[in-house]
Order: sequence, then C-alpha cells, then structure tokens
Amino acid sequence: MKSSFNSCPQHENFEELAALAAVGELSPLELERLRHHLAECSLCRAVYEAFADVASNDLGVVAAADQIIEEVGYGSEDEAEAREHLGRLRDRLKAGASAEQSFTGPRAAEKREIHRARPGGYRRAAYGIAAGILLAAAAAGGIAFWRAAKDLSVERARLHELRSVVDSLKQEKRDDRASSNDAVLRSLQESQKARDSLQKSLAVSAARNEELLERERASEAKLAGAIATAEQLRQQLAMNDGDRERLAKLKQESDTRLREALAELYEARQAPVETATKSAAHEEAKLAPDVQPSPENGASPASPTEVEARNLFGARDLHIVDVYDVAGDGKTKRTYGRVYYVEKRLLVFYAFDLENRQNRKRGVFQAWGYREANLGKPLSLGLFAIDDNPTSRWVLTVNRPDVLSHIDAVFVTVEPPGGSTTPRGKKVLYASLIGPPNHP
Amino acid sequence: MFGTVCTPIMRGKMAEHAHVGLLTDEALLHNIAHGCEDCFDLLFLRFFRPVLNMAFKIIRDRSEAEDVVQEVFLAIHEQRERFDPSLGSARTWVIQFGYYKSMKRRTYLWNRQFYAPHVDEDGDGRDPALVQPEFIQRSAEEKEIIEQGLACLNPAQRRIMELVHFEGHTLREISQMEGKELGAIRNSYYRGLKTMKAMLTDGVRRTQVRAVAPAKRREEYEIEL
Repeated sequence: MKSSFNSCPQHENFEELAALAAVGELSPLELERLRHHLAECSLCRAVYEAFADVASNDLGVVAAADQIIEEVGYGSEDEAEAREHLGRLRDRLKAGASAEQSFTGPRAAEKREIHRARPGGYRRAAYGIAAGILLAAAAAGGIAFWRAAKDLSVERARLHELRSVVDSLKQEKRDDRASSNDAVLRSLQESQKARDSLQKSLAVSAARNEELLERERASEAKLAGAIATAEQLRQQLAMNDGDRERLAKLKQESDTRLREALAELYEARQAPVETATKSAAHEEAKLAPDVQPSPENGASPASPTEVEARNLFGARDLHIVDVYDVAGDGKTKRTYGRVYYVEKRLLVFYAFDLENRQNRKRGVFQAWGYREANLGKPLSLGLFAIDDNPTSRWVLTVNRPDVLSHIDAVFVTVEPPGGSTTPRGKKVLYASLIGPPNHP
Repeated sequence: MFGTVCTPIMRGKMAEHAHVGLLTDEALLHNIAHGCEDCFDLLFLRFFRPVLNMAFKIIRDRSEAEDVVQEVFLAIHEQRERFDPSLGSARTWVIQFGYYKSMKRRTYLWNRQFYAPHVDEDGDGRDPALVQPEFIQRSAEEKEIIEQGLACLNPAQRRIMELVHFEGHTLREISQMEGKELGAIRNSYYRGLKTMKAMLTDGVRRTQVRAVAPAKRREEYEIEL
C-alpha cells in the first residue's frame, strides 16, 4: 500500500502507532513515543485524527447497524433498571442545570425568557449569585491553573526522565549494534581464516590426489608389464616343459642306444676273444704244448668273462695304468701294456707287441705280482695269452682276491715254456698299482 | 409519564402531542430538540438497553458501560438539535453515539492504565496530544460506502476489524484466538485501518470506491502477513 508519508518517510513508523492508538492498543513506551511525536508533528497528528475518526465515527455506523439487528425486546426488569438509570441521569441534569449557560438551543432561549420574566430584585440577586459564581469560577480557575502548572512541571520532569530513558535505550541499541557489528566482523574474519585453511587443505588434497593418481597409473603400467612378463614366462615355461620332455625323450633314446652299443660292443669283443683264445690255445698247443697255466695260479681264461667285463666297466675304484718298457738308454721300447685293476678283486693286463725275435725264441710271457714294501717272493699271476693276433695283443685276467690283496705292483718276465715258479727271465713290463683309483 | 401532555412552556415551540401510544424515534428526537423532557425520558427508556449492550461490548466493564450510557444521553440532551433526520435514522444516530462514546472511553481507560496522573480526571478522556475527533453523524450513503470499504479488505484484515470494532476484542485476544503473533495482528489491523482511512478520507474515495475495490482487495491480499 502506498504510504501516507511520501514526503516524510521517517514518520511511517508513527503511522502504525497512530492507527493502534486510535483503539488504545499501544504499550506504555509506544504511547509515550507517539505522544512526544504528535506534540511536535502536525502531519502525524492529522493522521492520528483521521484514524480516530474512522475508528470512532465511520465504523460506528456499521456497528450501530449490527447492534440494531441484534436488539431484542426487553422486559419489566430491564425497564426498572432503565428507570433507575434515568433517575440518576435526571439528577445529573439537575445538578448541572445551574451551570448550563452555554446551551444554544430553544431550551437556552427558553431559560433566557424565563429569566427576563423574573422581577428586578430577583435579577439583582441573580446578578449577585452570578458574580459569586464568577468569583468562585475565577478562584477555581486559578487553582486549576496552579494545578495545571504543577502538573506541567511534573509532566516536564517526567518527560525529561523519559527522554533520558529513551536516550539510554538508543545508546544501548547503538552499543548493541556496534558490538553486533564487531561480532559479525570477527565471525567474518574467522570464516575467512577457515576458508583459507580449507582452500589450503583442498590444494594439498588435490596435489596428493594427483600424486596418488600418478602412482596408480604407474602401478597400472607396472602391473601390465608384469602381466606381460608373466605371460611370456608362462609361454617360455611351456616351451621349457616341451624341451624337457624332448630332452628326457632324447636321453631315454640315447640311453637305449648306449645300452645297445655296449651290448653290440660286448658281443663284438666277445666273439674275437673267443676266437683268439681258441686260436691262441691252438697256437700254444702247437708252439709250447707243455706250458699250461698252473692250477695253483688260478689263472682264468685269458680274456675276461662277461661278468668280469661288467664288473670291470662298472667298478667305482678302477685303476687304469699304461705300462711302457724303457730301455737302458732311456728310450721307450715298442712293447707296452695297459692294466685294468679293481682293487683286490680283479686285474686284466693287456700287453702289446710282446713278441720279438728274441722273446719268441725264449718261451712264454708270465706275469708276477708282489708288494713293493715287502721283499718277499713274487707271486705268479699267470701266463699271457694272445688276444688279438693281428694287433699283437696279449691278455691276462686275474680274479683271485686272495692273491690280489697281497700285491701292489706287477711285472712281466719271459719264462721258459710252461712258466716258472719264480721269475727268472728278463723283465719286460713293470707297473705299480699303488695310488688312488684314477677312474673314474 | 406516559399518557401525559407536554408542558405549556413548550406549546409555543412545537405541536401539542400526547405520549400515549408509540412515537417514532425521530419524533422523540424532534420533540426533545424542542424541549420535551418527557420525550427525552421515553428516548432513554427506549435506548437504554441497546446503548448499554453496545458500551459493554466495547468496554467489557459493567459500571464503565453504565457510565457511558449516562454520558451518551447527557450528550444527546446537550446536542439534541444536532440530529439531522435527512442523514439517517434516529435509532442509528443514538447507537452510533453510544459507539462513539464507548470507543472514546475504551481508549481513555487503556491509556489511563499507564498515565493516570496525566489524563484528565473528569473522565472526558481528552489528551492534549491524542485529540479525539468530534462526533459526526454519518449518512446512509456513507454507511454503504463504509461497508463497501470493509468488503474491500482481505479476509484476515476484515475479521480483525470486525472483532475489534463490532465484538470489542483486543488485539492481544485476537492474537490468542487466531494463534498468530501479536505483531502480525497489529500490523494487519494497521493496514486494514489504513485502507479504510484511505478510502474514506481521501478526496476521491467516496466516488471511486466501487471501481477501486477489486484492485485494492488484491493489493491488500498481497501485502498481508
């Protein structure tokens, strides 16, 4: 709604107070404010009068109409009460009749006519009474003036007190506003600090988040590399498994072939030995029929049997000693030999090119064993037999542990056909069996 | 008193009349204006109860209401020639007078609770700063305009105006009845009264109120708390 105080907007607050004052709805402080303001502001005073006119006169018409509608008839009790009040009203009218000189209507004129019709004595008396009344009225007026002045001074003092109260309230309001402003300022500063702190925390968190993201990306890359490597390793492992299986298969095949080769080799060796043995026996029988291996020597057939060959090849303490015959001038002779010796169990002595023109004439070749530290009599190990004639290979096999456990050296002599009990002929080959096994 | 004849003093001023039977309210006021005290008594007896009810409704105090009745008829007795039958009925005029006096007494009593030493002791309620307007008889046309002005208010404002002026409730009572803040009720009453004042006291109000009413109703509704 458009204000009535367009030219004086600061008075708008008093407009509401004026409206409420028209029906007596103001608090003491509000009423005092309004009274103070209305005493100085004619504009607001006019507004107040307009509100009061609406409230007291205009709305009274409608109120009267409503009241008329609500009216009901009244009984004898109401009439008695009304007559009682009428009596009081009449008393008041009579009491005030003497002072009612200000009436301006037919009644006043009537009274004036009555007064004019009275005799002069009464008029003088009336004048005297009127003078007395005037004097009394003057005295009463003086007293009233004095009381009004007194009340005015009290009123002013009270107004001064109220103004001081209002000033103190205004000051308190200003102080409250100032303190409120300070509090708001402090709150704003604290909020600013909190916001700065939060922004810093946010920046740190963002950096940390970025770092974590970077780490995550690196970890993902590493993980991808590890997965690729694992895949390669898995493929390689599969390939290795294939290689292993292939190698195992090859090993099995090679073992099979080795065993077959050994068997073939053994068979291949066994057949010439038997042939050579038979041939040698035949030759010896032909050349030296009287020379036979002595039973006490226990010489086995010249070539090792299959069992002996297996024991020899599979021995863990095998001695293989190459034997050369050295001449007096330090030169190596043509004759040489090779001893296969399994300690205290088996000895196979191959000799090559034993025969020459002198040796063939002298007799047979006999092996002897002895212990170098013991200067006792050498033990006969047996006679050599030809093993392979084309290659001029001779062989002697000794499988007597009781003999072999007492020797640590062997030598070969040329003995007369049939052999000798003690070595008498020329030493051809000599080999020492002392020392650790050299095979494997 | 009934069945009597007016005194000879009055015979020269008005027609001789008997108080037997019913005289209209206007006739009573006419005779009172011409000095018939019997008619005044008749008027008092006729309007004692309505004026007392009106005063009690506004003031809520029996003795004060009875005192207001005395004040009303004293004023009528003093201003008996002021009644203008061309403006409205005598009945409305008397009860409107009762309303005027009741509101005046109510305001006086309310203010006296806080400033008893500074208010006129004769019970007139006159405050130098808060000058009360004179009683003015409203015409039937003005009554219609006032009713239209009330109709222009939004429902909340109209109800507060009716409760205050026609039922005699205080704004605090209305606040408790309506379950709203007292400040809101005060502001709503202020805006309603302001609207009424604008329509009834501004220069154009009495001719344009019908045209302005719908727009003003909407405006009031929008600013209602």
